[in-house]
Amino acid sequence: MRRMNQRVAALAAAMLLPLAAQAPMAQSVRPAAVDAAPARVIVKYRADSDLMKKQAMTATGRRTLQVQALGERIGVALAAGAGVSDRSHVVTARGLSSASLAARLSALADVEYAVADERKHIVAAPNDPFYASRQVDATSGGPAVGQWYLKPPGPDGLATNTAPAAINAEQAWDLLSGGVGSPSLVVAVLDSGLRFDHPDLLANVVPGYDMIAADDSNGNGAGGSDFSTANDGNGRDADPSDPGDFITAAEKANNPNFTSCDVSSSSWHGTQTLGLIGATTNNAVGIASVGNGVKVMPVRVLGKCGGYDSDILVGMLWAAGVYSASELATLGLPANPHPARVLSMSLGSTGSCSQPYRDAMTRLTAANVVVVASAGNTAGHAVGTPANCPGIIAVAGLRHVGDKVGFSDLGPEIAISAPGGNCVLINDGEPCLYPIMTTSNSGAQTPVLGAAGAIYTDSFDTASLGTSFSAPLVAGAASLILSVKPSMTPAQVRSALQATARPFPTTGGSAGIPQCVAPTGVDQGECYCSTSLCGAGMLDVRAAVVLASGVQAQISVATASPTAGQPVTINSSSVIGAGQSATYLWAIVSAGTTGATISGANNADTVTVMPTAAGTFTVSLTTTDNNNYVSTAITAVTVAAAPVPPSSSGGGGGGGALGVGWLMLLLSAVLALAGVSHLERRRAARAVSGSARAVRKR
Amino acid sequence: MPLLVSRGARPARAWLALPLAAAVGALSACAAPAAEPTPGPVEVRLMVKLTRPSDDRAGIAAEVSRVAGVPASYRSLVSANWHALSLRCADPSACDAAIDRLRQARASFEAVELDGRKRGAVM
Repeated sequence: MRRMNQRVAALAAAMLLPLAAQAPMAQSVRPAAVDAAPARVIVKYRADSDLMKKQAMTATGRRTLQVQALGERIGVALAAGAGVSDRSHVVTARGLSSASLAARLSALADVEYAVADERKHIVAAPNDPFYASRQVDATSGGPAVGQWYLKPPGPDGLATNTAPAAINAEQAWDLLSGGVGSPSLVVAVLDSGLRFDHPDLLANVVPGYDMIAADDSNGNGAGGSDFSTANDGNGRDADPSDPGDFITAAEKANNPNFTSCDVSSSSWHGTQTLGLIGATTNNAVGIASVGNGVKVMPVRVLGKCGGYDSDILVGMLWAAGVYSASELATLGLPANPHPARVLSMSLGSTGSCSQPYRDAMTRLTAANVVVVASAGNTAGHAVGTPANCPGIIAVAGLRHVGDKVGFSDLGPEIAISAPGGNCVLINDGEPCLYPIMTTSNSGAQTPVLGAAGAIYTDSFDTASLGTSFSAPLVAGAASLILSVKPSMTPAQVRSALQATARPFPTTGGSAGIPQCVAPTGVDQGECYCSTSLCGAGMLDVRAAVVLASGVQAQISVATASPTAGQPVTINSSSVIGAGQSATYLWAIVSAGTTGATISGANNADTVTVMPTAAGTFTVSLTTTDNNNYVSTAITAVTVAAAPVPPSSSGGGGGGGALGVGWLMLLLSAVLALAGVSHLERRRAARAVSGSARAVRKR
Repeated sequence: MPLLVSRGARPARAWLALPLAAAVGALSACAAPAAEPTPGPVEVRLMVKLTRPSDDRAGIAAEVSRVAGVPASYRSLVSANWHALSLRCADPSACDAAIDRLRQARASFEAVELDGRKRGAVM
């Protein structure tokens, strides 16, 4: 019988095991980040700790004895590291994170504090020469404020080398692993292609594609012979080099493809926008980029006089890697080996969002791809398209002081605003004070090859101004957010950008400028933004990265089969942000029938709960990081009944209920045989049952 | 008030504020110069969304041509549902009417949109 009871108990435990495991698994449990490197903690002992009385021949020997004692108390093999003071030194261990080790040691009575011994990096501006402020004149380029837009925000003025609308990228980089964006994160730049010979763009570029098809058609979809827009003599191919997009007076007069465009020099627009996201940073050459190490992929969709929707849409879907094999086969395109998580689109036109863009966005959003687009430059009119399409993060342009720059469009579709460059210009010949400096080419029409052609836009003839430059700053910010938390959805990325945007200023603009108003069909220049027209606020990259990398409380139940009367060990598997540490607080939300209470400390990364009976209890973990971001997780834990101890009499160990049942059945049978009525039998049975309960209570 | 102007030799390249209706007639792909439209064949680029996915280029072009009442040329697949084509019309108003006919043929075409031009948002 005892063996049978043991089998029953084992079977019951096996049946309950999935239940116990199921509750915590319902959470998106993710293992705590445990680096290959050992956990490092600085521990300081209390002055009255017995551990301070440990004696050894050397200080190292004394620390070894101290950590052995500590290790025994927390059940972790510890090693002593360098001394910090007479009561503090470094402790290392393997198999857990520094934050976890610090939390466990902090819970010991002998320890005054234990904190992660974190690696710090030099916090410094990048060494790219155009990043910093410098002297500027008509021959040395500009601007005097350098790459003001990437710096921490500050008061307007050259002395501080910054501006209120600056996006705070420099301080965001310090939060990233290794101080750079993720090299596995790809931002596709859908634009006019790229000058691959620019030395500041080589390190971060992955292969892209030229999506500009022929202007005409042979009628069967296999192309045509007019490559006016492409200007490279062919249709779609694997070379997204920018051959130039100039338009001559003769072309405008004679080529029907160009009648709606102005005579112009080549813009090198794609080289400019891509450089803002992907120029090599901290290489002592040229400029820094907001992406700072993320990969950039040129997808050529704009040629002379812009580009067609059909080419842009193909570029979007290919860049994101969402085309099916059959679609690729029909298009004659290879699969994209570097699918982009972010698309940056500094392009558009007036009008509403058309259905093909809506359909494309549905596919891109489902594929977790973030799409960023420029609002447009028609001076305060309605947001252009595709920026006004649902799901796209539309970006308006700001002046350096944070009010709307005159050329930028605005409206309720805007998600956020970022610098678009402004000149604060009075007279011809004076430098543009706050342009967006970036990579370009010196060719007026065709590219100038090699070093001679690889230039940077400046404060004079090539100043970069436009919402074309606002969007890449936001796309770059999105890439950094995804660098620290790749699992974020496009909606979460948008939310992080918006939740951390700084408020628009209400002063500091030019004298007498008005509040922005909803587009009315007339031009609207510089004006003070509102959140209803310019998005949530001014982009702050550091704040967005901090938010994205913030703590996320998660719980994992370590005890495989929680059983009444046995301690249940529950661990934090919280995800802690880059460079962050955390504190923990556990609580029993509901004990249910289990009578569960926390046994011991409730402020470490692990907790012990003692249930006294079967049932389900609910426990919460509140994790707070050192930026005071708080996250709480709650998990239900099912507790099985304790195994029934074997009876010393050798029979009927199942307990009183079964015994009472058998007793009542036996009594009922006897009474029935004796001819007692049904009512009398029930009275007799109640009497037996009550006696049995009384016995069990005793 | 600060002067916000485009700098240098490049002329301003802001998006042109073309109303959609005007764009239909004066699409950049049209043969006639915008300032002085001349009668004659014009080409309009458009995209159609099929009610049933297909990659039969000739069949799609034939159906578009049949419904539109003007010659149609297949240009490119955009996705399994969306296809880019060109219509060849006697004049802009004929293309407007052809597009209207396509938009009314909901049994074949879920949506019909112009394949317009986009430009860089740089000053």
